[in-house]
Amino acid sequence: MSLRKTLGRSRPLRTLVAVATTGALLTALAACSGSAGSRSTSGDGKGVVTFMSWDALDTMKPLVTEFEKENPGITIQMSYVPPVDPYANARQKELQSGTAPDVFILGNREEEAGGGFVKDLSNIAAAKVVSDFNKQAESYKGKLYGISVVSWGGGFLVNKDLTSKAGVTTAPQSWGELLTDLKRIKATGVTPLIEAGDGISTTLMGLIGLAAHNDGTDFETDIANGKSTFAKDWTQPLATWSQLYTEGLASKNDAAVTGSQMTDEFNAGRAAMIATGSWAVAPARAALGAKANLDFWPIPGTTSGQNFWAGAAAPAYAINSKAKNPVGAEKWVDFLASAKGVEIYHKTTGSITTTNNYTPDLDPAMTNMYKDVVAGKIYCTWQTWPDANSSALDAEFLGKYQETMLGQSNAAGVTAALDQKWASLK
Amino acid sequence: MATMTASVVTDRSRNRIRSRAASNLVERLQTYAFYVPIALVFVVLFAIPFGQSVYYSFTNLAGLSPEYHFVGLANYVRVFTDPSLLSGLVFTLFFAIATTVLITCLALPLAVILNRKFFGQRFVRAMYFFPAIPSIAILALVWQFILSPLASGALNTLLHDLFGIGPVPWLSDPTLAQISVVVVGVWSLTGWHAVLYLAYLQSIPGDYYEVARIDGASSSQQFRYITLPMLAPAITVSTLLLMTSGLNVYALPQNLTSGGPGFATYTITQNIVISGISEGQYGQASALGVVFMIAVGVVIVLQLMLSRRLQRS
Repeated sequence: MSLRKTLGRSRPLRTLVAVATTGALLTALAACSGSAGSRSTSGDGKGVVTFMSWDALDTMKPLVTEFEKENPGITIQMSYVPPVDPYANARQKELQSGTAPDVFILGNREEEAGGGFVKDLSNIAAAKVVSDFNKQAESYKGKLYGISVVSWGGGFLVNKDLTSKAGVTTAPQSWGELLTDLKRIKATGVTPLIEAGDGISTTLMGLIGLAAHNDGTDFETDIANGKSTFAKDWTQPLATWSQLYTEGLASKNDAAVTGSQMTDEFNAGRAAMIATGSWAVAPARAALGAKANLDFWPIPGTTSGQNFWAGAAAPAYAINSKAKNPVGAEKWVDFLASAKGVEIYHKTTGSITTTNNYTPDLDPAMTNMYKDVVAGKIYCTWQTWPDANSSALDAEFLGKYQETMLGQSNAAGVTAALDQKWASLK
Repeated sequence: MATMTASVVTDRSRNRIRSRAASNLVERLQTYAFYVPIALVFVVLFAIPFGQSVYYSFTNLAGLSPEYHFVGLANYVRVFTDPSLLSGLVFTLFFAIATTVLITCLALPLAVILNRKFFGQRFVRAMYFFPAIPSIAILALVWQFILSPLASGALNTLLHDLFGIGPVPWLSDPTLAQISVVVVGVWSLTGWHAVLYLAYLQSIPGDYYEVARIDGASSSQQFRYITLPMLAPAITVSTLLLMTSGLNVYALPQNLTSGGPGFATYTITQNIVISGISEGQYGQASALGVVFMIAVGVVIVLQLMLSRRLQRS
């Protein structure tokens, strides 16, 4: 007998099925609200420490293994969400719903530190080994809220085996010299430079950073506080950068090139230079071989002898102010900043570690940038923007940046659009 | 005696009527009980969130702070004056209309062909239906690789090797990028809609075609005067689904072009997702969502009215 006939004949059975379905649905909907539940922990941190990583689980596993060996009784329950937007979205939802893990990557300081979502870490052991630049980057109103043990630097990753065919073997000392070098490389039939269009290039970041450094001011804080505008501070660096496209030295197709496509071209030996960060060195070395003549050059300014790097303090580890295991969380963060922890992270990722308890063994290509990165001669857009409107501004900036690559906009058009967007967000 | 009997009979009838009424009531309640799950889903997952969106659209709720203030129609004013939003509206409409027209024009004859018997018919049907199965986000990433504007891109390499054509800026030229998004959308859904039409085709009685053949009607006449009118309900359903999914498009342009180059393939839903989630501007995104829902509702009602008029004629 079919189910339909069975249900049709039996009233008690129909009632039971209806009630069971409704009950199951209510249970499922209640489960959607999600609750981490309480975890009892002892005063020495023993128990579970929840950690939401934005490094791949394979990257963090050696650290977890070593920490748990040194701290028997403490278990790190790690989850992974990829950077940047998916992680920011997940973190925001969890902070709002009260289900955020004990340790996570710090986001907007004004929102999270100002809103009381993260603990003051100024006096923990890890704070003593963090570099001054990284400390400043993760502080809010004089207190430290995130422990950043790594920084990234960005500029031009150069395949000198290709540039030397055009007689270009050293970093250009000025922007004019850079343009000349790119023309010489292009004349040999090699693609001189590729920039990715899915994010603001390290070239432009370096130029803006240099302009701010020469001005002696923090552009973003001044613009956000109304003391300056994008038109006043960003037009000149943008105009300089756009020469790459108006003079045909970088292709308009870059507007649709992703970061991974750009590095694939470089790693296949089809591009002499790419505008990228220090994370690209290890894959390039693996693809081009140990003997490949790779180097990292800073972004030169219009004045000879001046240069700057793109870069920033890497995202910092923060402790939830409502952590279920605050003692264990603090031990985990202290370990991540310890000499052992930093060493393991560096050996796994090849990153530029900036703590004072460990000197990284870097690829020779990164020798040029190391000291500057540790000293903080680096800039990344929106790092010092004080509120959460940087996402909206970045979306507008990226669209106009791509239009500039295509020749549909220019420096003045970009900054005018940014000022208009900021005016609408204030 | 007769009165007593009549009284007993009346009592019995009354009891039977009462018992039948109670039985009907119980049966109705049991039937309504089966509506409870779907009603719960509607209320919890649509009605309540929609009500909250309308409420928050009049506030400045943003970020992590639970505090917000009533701002009147400020969010709605911003919706109608934001330049990136207006460019998103243009492409969204272009995508919805283009995919609806193209898929309908391709899926109909494809369904007619797939309805015929030929060797490998089932394999061919499966092949055309396959693009509808994987996630559109994954398909978009695959097409991003194929349509890469670099000379080393898959399609550009093929064109260069076969015809000596230089790298075509499929995704970096604004117009080509818009066309590419539409083409991928058409490619992914034509098979699915062809199968929808196929199901309706198979319900058309064969006698109609036999009579038409006897009367001397050609294939095109049979298609024009029998197949198309009989498929009118299917066309209504298909175009309705295409317009609603086209107006709500998000995953395809987000993963293929990220809304670029510039704002060429930026959509309304991208704006809602970016402002509401990435930027945490919940009030603004709610206003945009409400306006968009009303606009989509108007478009769908107009489309249904037009379809029904065509069906009647």
